[in-house]
Amino acid sequence: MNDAVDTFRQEAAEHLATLEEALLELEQHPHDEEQIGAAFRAMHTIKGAAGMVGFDHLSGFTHHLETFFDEVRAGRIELSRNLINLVLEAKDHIEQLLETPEPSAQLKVMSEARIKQFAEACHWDSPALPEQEKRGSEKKGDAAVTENLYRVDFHPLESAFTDGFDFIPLLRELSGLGTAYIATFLDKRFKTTSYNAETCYIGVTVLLTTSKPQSAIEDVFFFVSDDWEIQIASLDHDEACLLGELLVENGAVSIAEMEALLSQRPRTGELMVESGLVKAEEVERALGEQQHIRQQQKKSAPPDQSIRVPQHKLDMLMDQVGELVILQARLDQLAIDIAEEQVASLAEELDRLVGELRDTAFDIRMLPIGSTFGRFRRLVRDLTRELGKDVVLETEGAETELDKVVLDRLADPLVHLLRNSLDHGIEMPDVREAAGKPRAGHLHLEATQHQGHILISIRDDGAGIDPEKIRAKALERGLIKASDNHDHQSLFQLIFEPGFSTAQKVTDVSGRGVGMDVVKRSIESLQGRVYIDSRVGVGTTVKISLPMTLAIIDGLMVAVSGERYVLPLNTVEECIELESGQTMLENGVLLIKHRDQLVPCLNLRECFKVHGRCPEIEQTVIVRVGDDLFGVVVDEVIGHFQTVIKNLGRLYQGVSGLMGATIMGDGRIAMILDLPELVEEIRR
Amino acid sequence: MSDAKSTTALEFQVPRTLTIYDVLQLDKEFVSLTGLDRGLSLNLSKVEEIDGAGLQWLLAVKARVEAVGGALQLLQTPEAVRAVAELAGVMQTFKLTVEGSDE
Repeated sequence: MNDAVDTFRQEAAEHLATLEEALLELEQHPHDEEQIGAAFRAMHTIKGAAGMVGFDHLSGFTHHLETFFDEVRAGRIELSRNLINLVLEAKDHIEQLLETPEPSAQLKVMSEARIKQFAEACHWDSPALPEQEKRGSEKKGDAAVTENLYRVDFHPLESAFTDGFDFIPLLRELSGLGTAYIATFLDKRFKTTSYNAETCYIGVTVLLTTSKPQSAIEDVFFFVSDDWEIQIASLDHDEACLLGELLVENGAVSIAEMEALLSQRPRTGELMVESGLVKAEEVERALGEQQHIRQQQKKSAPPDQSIRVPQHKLDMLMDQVGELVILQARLDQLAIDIAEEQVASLAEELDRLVGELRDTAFDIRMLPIGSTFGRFRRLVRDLTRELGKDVVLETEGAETELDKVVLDRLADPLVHLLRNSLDHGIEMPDVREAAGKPRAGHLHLEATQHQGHILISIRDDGAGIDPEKIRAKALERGLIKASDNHDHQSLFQLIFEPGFSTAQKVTDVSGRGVGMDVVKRSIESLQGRVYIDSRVGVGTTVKISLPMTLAIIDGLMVAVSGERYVLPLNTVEECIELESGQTMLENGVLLIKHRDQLVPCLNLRECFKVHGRCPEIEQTVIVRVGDDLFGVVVDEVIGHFQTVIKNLGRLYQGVSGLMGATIMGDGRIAMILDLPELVEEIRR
Repeated sequence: MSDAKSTTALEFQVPRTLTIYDVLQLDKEFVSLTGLDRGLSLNLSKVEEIDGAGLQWLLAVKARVEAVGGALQLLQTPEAVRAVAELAGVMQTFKLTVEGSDE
């Protein structure tokens, strides 16, 4: 497949996602014009682009959907639940049609059947796919829909009515090209004293916002262009900006000052009417035009320009920035070693630039998590129906940004967790009612940013998980002993053991005991953590904590007997000196007294069995993991270090407490600590 | 056509079609009306068909009634007229509303 087709498919997938999102919104608010417009544009763009890359059948199919949304937009079709279902099914069908330009006979039959369904539902006359030649002209359409504002002024010939040319059908055609503001009036040829009812004195002004080229407007006047007075002009939005508005925008004057000044003088329109220069209705008409232009300006405010870049190029950029950061560290080291002022100055300046480049490259890869949330709405909607349940999905924090790589790999685990909540968590409506709950269950999906981590929670108000059932199942499977004293939290964590499921029945949705261990592994492979909390009868919350990126972090470098380690800087609260006598041991856990509280500590020397002499005064780095403080005891705190995370090789597989390694300025390797995992060690 | 001769506005009944084929005769009847300064109410309840010439006639009637100090009111505007008026952007001119609350 060539690049154009690949690009088309990628873009089509995005437009289909937009369509789905719009439909799910419209299900709640069927008259939301913005969503109807978004659905129309999605279909319009796919239709045009499909024709350009040879997906003629798809182009024809989407033509019907485009027409459908055009009718909805014009208020001629009322969006019902049934119609939304049909469009959602059509959207799924388009996904199949995207696979090949020439679909199988079976798919073609399905296309016909779906169009027929639409025709019946909308009382259309011609359910057939548009003919090839009809689509021919549409192939010229630009895949990227940009809208222009045109002003069309026309005055039919005085004999237009008697010649058989009515202007009303032309107005219909113009309206069909986009969003039109039309003003029809009696022009200067009209005199109250010499009116002839069969003579045409009509003048029309149309402000048309359309994605169609000017030639489409000219085509409307094809039969009358030689005789009628017609002017078509493309309006530059900027031309319509008023001086006052510009001054306010530039900050030269405040809105209040401008309004106060303007209120002191009569309006231009009033002045002109009073002076007899123009009639009141002419001013009214001009004001109508002005209002329309302003509305269109607001709508067509250009979004940030964007370009499409293949993922591998972004990865390459990130790798190169990583190498640059490492080289920078070497230069910093050199500047220190040779103690040369000029080199130190250069290193400092380069340090600043590399830091900015790193942040920019990092930012390019960040995407709002809402793009993933959007996909879940359809999943929840469809599954809810399949299961005969009533569930409302609420999302929060959709704007929270996450590295694209993390985001892509997060989708599957989240789908699994949502399916579990829907299938096993939220009860059937009757059961909920009997339990004194609302019939509709609530599923809450939330993302927040905290200390350089993204926290995602999936919360349902379902039946909850019975810890005693988990204990019984775990005993049965030999995962725990009867004598073990497990609190609820540690029992819930057993759910992530391979093959563990307390579901009474296996369904198509979930409950096979396969998956929760995969969920945990997937999250952990993203350097994330997953926790479950639940209360019987109240509901279950699954919390996922993820780093914002897997590429570069700010770190605090520490040393133990010359071995270097990096702690993620966002977890570091403070560094303190540790003198003998300040520590105590309780149940084998090292505790230090810090700010009137006992903080559990782990000694890196012992943790990683580092040889060498322990200094008289050790340093303790106080870190926050979740809501709790912990101490990390080291020999020496070296300082801030921009850390490019490199994966550990197979040799280090199974070594807990390490999330990766980094290369230092002198070429040596430093290990990056996985603090949540080390803290788990303390807890155990 | 009915001329109510009331102290307020005259009332004029418009027939079933308001097209290029009707406007000449209608206008003859209109110009024969006296007392337009009291205002004119056009009853459009019977109109089933209207074209550009018909719409122009409505605009011209309005202009001429206003020229002598009267006001034009459209009564019982049917959907056919309303749709054309909306398309041509003269709803405001005739004080028509989309919901039909004008009646």
